[in-house]
Amino acid sequence: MSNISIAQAEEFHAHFHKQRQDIQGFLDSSNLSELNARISALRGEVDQVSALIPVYDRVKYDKQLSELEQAVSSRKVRDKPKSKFSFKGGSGRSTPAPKPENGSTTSAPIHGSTVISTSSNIVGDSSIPTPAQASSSSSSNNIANSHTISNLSHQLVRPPEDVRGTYTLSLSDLSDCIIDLRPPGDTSTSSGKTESEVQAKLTAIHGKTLRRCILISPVVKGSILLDGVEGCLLVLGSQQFRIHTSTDTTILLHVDSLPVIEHCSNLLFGGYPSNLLENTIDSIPIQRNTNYRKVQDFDWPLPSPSPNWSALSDQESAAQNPTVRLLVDKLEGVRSSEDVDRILEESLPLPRS
Amino acid sequence: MRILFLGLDNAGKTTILKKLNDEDIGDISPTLGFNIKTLIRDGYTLNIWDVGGQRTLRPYWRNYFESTDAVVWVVDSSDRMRMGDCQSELKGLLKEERLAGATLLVFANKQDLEGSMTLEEIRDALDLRSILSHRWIVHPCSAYTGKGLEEGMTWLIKEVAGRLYWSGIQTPTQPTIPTAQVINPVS
Repeated sequence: MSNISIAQAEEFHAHFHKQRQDIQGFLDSSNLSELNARISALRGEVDQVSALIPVYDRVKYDKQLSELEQAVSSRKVRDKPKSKFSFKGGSGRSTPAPKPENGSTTSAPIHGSTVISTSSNIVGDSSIPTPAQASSSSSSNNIANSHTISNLSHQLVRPPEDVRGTYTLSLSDLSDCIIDLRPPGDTSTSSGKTESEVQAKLTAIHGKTLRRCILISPVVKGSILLDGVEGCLLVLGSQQFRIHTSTDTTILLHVDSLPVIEHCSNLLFGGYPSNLLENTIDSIPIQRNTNYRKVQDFDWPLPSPSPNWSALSDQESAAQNPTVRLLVDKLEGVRSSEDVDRILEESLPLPRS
Repeated sequence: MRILFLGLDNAGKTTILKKLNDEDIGDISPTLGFNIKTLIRDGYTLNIWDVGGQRTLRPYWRNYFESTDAVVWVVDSSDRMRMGDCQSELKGLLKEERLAGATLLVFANKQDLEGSMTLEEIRDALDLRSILSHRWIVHPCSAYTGKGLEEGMTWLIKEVAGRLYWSGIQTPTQPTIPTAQVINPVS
């Protein structure tokens, strides 16, 4: 294989230019999926020759393709009500399926093998396979499954209401808040919850900058990663747990592996309250463990106990159960930010018996 | 082939590796130092170094750079808040002279989590298109289900093998398209 000649590069340039103009001409008339298909087909062509053409051309093509994609996205926003994906049957390599728009769809399962075997457009340094070329199922609902809760204070925060299925959550810049992430079905004994509401399941939590908050989560299947936590009470369960740059915080934790702390001080670890454990996860029975005592401190490689954290004894840990239960019950009655402040006042720092 | 697994903590490096090796992934703890694993794939022996991604450990990554054929950069596709971090760590890494010429496989991990970032979002968040010094690909995967792992590794091995092969025969004056390459380790 050799570099193509200048003449060939020029020829491709003319071809690209023509295609691009065509697409631009159709921007306002064609349907979106067709436009998307044309753009990704063109991208595929560029990718096929990308290793052979001058870097300058490659970068320029890439930029122009991105501009076209953006133009299509902005049109999509404009006529949202009727924007639906339509998939043509039997689309092969020459007519790749339309690409889901950023942010409006969840990532449908991606079949990596398809991506690789039809790899005309995965070539190295200029492109990636687009998810839709590999996915055959459409994700027509617009429910985002990644939620962000940020910049709140003096509030009671409950799980987002518009979720179905599983979701991940990012929490950032919350102060003086109570964040109760247990699924709605758990917070009240009353019936009347639809099935989909009960089913919404949190799978992972990322948290950044939480001050004087109470955070209660169910035991999640994935991991929890926190950074910049100060003066909080955390009731958390997960497969893995990491906390960075945090201080003066009590953590009642159920974790299936060894918890990790980094750049932390004055952390107090205890077990996840057993009375919350019972109804927190549906099918899998949770094996109680005491991994909260096996914290790995990245700032303390010595065999002697780290000064940055300590663990409650069994007795002390068990003594937290009624306290947390009481706290959870109190949340039912919260009506105002004053109520939130009062509960925070009573609960932080958690009295150590 | 010497392959380095790097990325931020909580990306899933160890889980990917254990899954590739058919090991139990239920009880993996955050990596305190590093793991080494030897896998055989497509007739090649892969020596894989999996180094912990915790901030404290990142300065030690450079101890593992020597004679690396490929870098597998693992990304937690659901960790939107640290994409900036992820980008700057990767960029710093690629500036490293000892990694010049190493192929880059970006594993967009945790695609099984609903709402995780798409390949395009990750490509843009990491500003991958500005990378011209290394051949790269973003490949979707889930260490939890195992989906996409073997395919990603297959691409990587093909790439590296092709490069090693060519550079052994002739001076690699031009890059080649991976699909057009014939993997033929015995020349």
